[in-house]
Amino acid sequence: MASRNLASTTETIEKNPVLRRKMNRFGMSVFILSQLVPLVVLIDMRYLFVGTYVSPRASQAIALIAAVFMLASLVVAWTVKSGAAHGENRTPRLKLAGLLGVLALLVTFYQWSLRLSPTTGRFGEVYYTMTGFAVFYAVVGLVGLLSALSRARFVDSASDDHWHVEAVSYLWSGIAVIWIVTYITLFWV
Amino acid sequence: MAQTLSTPSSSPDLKTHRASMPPVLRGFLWAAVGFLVFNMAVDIVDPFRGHPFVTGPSATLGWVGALLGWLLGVGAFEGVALPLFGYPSRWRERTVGWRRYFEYSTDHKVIGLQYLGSAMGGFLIAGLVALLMRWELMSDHLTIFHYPSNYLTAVGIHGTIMMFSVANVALLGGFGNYMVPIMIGSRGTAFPKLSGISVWLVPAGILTVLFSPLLGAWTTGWRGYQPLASQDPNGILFYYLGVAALTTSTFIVALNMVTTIMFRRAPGMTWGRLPLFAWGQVTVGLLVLIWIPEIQATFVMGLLEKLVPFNFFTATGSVLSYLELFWIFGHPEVYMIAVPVFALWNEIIPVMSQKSLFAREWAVIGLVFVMLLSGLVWAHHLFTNMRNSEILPFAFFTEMISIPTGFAYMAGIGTMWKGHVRLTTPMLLVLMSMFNFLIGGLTGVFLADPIVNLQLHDTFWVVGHFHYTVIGSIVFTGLAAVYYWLPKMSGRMYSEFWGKFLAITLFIFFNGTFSQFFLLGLHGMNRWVPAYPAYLQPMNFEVSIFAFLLGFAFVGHFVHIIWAWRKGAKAPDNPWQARTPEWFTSSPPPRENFPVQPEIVSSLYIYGAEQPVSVHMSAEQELAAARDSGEGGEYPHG
Repeated sequence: MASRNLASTTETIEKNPVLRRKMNRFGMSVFILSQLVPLVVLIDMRYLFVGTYVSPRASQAIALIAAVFMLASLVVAWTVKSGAAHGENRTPRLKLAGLLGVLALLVTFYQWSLRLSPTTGRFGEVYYTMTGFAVFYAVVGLVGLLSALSRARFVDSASDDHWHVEAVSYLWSGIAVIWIVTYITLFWV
Repeated sequence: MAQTLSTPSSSPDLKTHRASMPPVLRGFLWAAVGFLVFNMAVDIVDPFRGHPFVTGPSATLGWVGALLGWLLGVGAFEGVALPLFGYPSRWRERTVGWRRYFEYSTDHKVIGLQYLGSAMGGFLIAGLVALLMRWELMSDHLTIFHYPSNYLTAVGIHGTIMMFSVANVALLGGFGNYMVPIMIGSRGTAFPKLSGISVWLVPAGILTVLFSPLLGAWTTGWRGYQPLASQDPNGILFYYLGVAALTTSTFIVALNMVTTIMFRRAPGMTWGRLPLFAWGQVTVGLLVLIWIPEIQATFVMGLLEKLVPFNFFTATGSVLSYLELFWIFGHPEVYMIAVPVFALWNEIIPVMSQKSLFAREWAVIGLVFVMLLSGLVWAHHLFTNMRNSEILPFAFFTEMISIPTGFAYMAGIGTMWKGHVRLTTPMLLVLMSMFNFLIGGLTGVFLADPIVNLQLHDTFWVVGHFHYTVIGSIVFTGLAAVYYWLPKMSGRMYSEFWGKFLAITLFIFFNGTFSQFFLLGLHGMNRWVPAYPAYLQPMNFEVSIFAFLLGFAFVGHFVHIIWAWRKGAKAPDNPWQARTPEWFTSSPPPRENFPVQPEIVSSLYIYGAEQPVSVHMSAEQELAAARDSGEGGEYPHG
């Protein structure tokens, strides 16, 4: 409970854009971390209900293709995030990140359409629930990416602090990590 | 995503945009359109042509459309969606007038009052439903409810709205949004746009739960227990969806408050000087950020269990897992409610005693340890389903948590000790709250004992216990907070006579009602039953009379508060001679809280000694700000 007077060193965010950026990053980090909690619940349920069982009707190859798309998308989004954090505008690369995300979604929808495991089967329930969560996050993340691309058409890049681009690429990176962990948990471990 | 800092501007060339109809009305209209569009989209792809227009899946997706329409309609379309995609914002916020409370806003004080208003509305609705339940229980057989499932639906609506839209909202969303930024010397919150949206999730959630019987009865209470929920008609879907909206709102409040307190404290507002209520918000915020996502994931699984249907929690799955997943959130939930209450006691008591807060550090440590231990007690809700070896640690921690809880009492009583206590209405309500929570805590110690628990489980003893802890804490202290900060929020004073009279009335009727719940429980009155053995009828009848009087007492408070807000005598800026920063600005505070950025120069809880004024503002800057300030009007939206 040591009381330290910060009056001489602390500025408010109105005067300190670096502090404001830190604040925004903190909020986004907390949000992404908080979304690991549902992931933990789902992983818990996966092992509770089916142990390490993987249905032989589930094509690991198809799921792997989707996960690789998301991994590639994660790499692209992270470069955009890092660039934005250093004031570089790499917004156009978000098109590639988004495209890879859409491909991952399409592959997953294709796998869903195969009805690889009856929904009443235990693995099928876990599979559809876990991938459903990942797809939901991805759709939200794609809306975020679209907003950044749309915003780039209207907002002057030189005067923009690129927080919006950093935020959505950061969020998308978190979503991609959740997707990949979901894949590993469902099919590998 | 991007949270721009709003700064006042008086550009006259900015074209004011007003929605073509009042935003709330537009919200309802767009919600209806959203529901129809999404509902029909599901109908179109439905391979079974014989289904009715509204089915479980179509209502679920329709609800998503309705929620989007509602949020966009109340102002998020112009205020958030358009700027998010780079289009210029056409939204201009009102800074004066009552209409600003009925539309999207980024002013944390407006948002705070919107949260308080929503919580009050939820309280009245859920209270009315409670009175229907008490009316039913005046007889030992079914009277106003035709089937037990109807009665149980009422129980569920009452509990859900009270827990998720009142208990979680009033102090966290309401006073958290309004007061915490001012108390830490900030001129705003971290994420005002996000906060402006989140508050509108509360009425959406309340209405969803309230109208859930349109899709059928549900019998699970506020916990949505599976597999029972999957056996119910589709009303349970609106339970899960309404709670999703309400919990998302609470989650956003926590994210906003924790970040605000971390990053927007005034110069000199060190952690050692942080107001107790802000400490309460941080600790509860951490609980919310962990456990709300957990229960949301669980409820999504419950929803899928009903909709698809899955079998996670049926006899072929794991029935106990749902209970565990619920209560691992459910007991921290109790402390999400109680921790801000403990903090508020020690916010109000030093002011009303004009005496330095006793053992401030221990009061803070108590809040933190209650938070930490709250995740270790949850299984005491499941003692009837557990082995002895599993019961022991949870019984131990349940009794242990009373120790840090006791720190809040220690600080409060130590502060009052030999102080010159001013027995104002807020102080009286705080003392009543401390008494009630003590009763709730002591009766909880009985329930923590496994042997007694197995006897009292599912009886009215338990209902009495949690009403003493929840109403005894959040409602009494919430009312104390309203009276305490009413001069700040409205610039007007309440009637001390009516305040005290109504507080005493409330206390008597509350205890008259709920103390007898313990007796009913001991006599064998079960929960969840609208019909019961005839020998319990006289006492139930009498309890119901007290409950109706309790309802009148609440209404009396609300009428008095609204009257004081509009017609009360003008209040001075600091009527209590308090030292926390919210009392160092005008009442009500201006748009950016302080004329200039304040600096905190000494402790906020030291009274009596020759302490310097705790908040410092440069006189030159204040004068300059006063010259520049306008008379209100509209606030441009960046």
